[in-house]
Amino acid sequence: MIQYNYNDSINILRDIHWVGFYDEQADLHCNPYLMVDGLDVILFDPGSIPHFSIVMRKIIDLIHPESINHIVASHQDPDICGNLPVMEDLINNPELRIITESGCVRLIQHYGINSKYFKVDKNNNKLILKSGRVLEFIPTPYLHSPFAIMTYDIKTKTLFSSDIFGTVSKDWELFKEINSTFKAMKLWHQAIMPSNVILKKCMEKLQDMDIERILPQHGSIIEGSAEVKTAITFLKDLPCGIDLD
Amino acid sequence: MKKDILTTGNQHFNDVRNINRDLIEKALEMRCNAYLAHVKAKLLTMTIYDVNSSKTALKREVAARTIIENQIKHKSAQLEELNTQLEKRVVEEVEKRRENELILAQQSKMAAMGEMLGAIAHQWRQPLNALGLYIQDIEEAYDFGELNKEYIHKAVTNSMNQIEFMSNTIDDFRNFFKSSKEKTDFNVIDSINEVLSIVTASLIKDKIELSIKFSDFNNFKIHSFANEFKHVILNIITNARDAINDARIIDSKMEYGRILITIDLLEDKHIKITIEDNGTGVPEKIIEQIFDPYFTSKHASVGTGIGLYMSKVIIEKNMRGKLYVNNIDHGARFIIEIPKAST
Repeated sequence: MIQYNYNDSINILRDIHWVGFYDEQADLHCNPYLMVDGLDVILFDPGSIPHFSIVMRKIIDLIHPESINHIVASHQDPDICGNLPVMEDLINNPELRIITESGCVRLIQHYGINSKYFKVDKNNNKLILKSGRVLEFIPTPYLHSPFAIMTYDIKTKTLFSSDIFGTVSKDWELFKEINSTFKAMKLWHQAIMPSNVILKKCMEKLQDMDIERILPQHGSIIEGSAEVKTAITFLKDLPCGIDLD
Repeated sequence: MKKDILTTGNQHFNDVRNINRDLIEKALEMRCNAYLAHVKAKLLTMTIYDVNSSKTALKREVAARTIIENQIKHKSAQLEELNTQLEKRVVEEVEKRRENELILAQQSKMAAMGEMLGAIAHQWRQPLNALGLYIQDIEEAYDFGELNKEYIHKAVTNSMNQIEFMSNTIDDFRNFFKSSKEKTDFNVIDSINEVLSIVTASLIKDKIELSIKFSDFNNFKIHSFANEFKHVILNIITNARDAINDARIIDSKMEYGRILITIDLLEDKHIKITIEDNGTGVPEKIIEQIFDPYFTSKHASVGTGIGLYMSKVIIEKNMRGKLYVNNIDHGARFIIEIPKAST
């Protein structure tokens, strides 16, 4: 078993990095990711103010922050957008665009953001990078935000799933065998997702997709298509939210 | 030994790495805090600036309003002052006007009295002559021994007749110049005849022939102030007489003056009285002004300039009629139109 040093950024793929903060005291762990694709650098869900210095230090270890030209905000929560104004101030790149859903813009502008927005629903749910690499955005309304989106990297078959497939537990590792995460995944989804009716539809959609790995914003990475399928099957029939009354 | 050196080296390397990491994170945290502090300060400054600018705006507005209020106050005071002055001037003007009217009325009365005195003098000349003859004859009758009872009786009767005639004359004139107190029904032909009885003697003396034309005597009743109406007729006739006399000065061959009075009934139940003469006529350049007060073409010793003004006032204000003038061939034509009495 490989020992990871969570003090540094961790390469998931050659061009995708985990730049999160492992807080041993917390049960909810946040996972920002950085994608470096030649001239395009995309930061996924940068996180909160308390995490800023660590996340940014890990980014600086990898690239010059001014080269970041996209930040994906999968929804409006403070564990995702809290440090956006500080982040854009330090990035200091006039080309920087915040990628999100139109409805979400209405909310996250209240963080005091100055950058321009890339509204996915106004752009055919697609961002084509300079290299020709395509990022697809999948709307997942009410899971749990009405404006929530996931990002699918076609090239590496990687799904940045935001809150879905997240876990809540003090016992955290970036890579974990799927069966050992069910309890924490169940706890998280039952607490935060509104209903199985909505969750099931999303899982049915994911079933038909070719996904090699899932990078959730909370919890552990699900690596390999078999594990991904197991996770989808698990969530597909999980009662949650209002189902539990 | 070699292993120890490697372990110590690694240990040192890791220590430096950890210190570096902490330093970078510390710097970033400071940067983050600095940014947040900057945002807060900026927010505070903006708030203070907003408060300040709204305070300044308010102050400016208050100042502007105060200026406007002061201006209004000043203007109001000026207006009030102007009003007071205006009121004073109105009162003064009204008073002046009233005085003028009084003077006018007085002058009109004086003119009428002058006219009356002239008429009385003329009317009295004949009976005074007669009285003189009767009195002189008494002395002669005594010398010739004709002074008996019968003679005295005849002389007294004749004298008393003359005196009575003179007394009647005064009564007539006094009545004529008394102003009417109330409106009465009267016939304009009767009134014109009364005027003629006063002026005929003077017209005869000036060789002026006056004729009067009308269709049906009973049609010309009006309800108004009789004496005032007579004054107007008298005024126009005496003006005609003066104009004829003036014309005679210009044209020595002209012998007889003529005044023609025509009375007609108009379709809109108005009576139209036309008085034409063959005098000088009214010069066109003053025809617009002859009804103005104090306007006279006559010499100051003869005219006061109020006769036609008073006439116009009487006809148009008191009797609700019209008085106007136009020139005809060799003379003037004055026209009076007054409403006929309702029955």
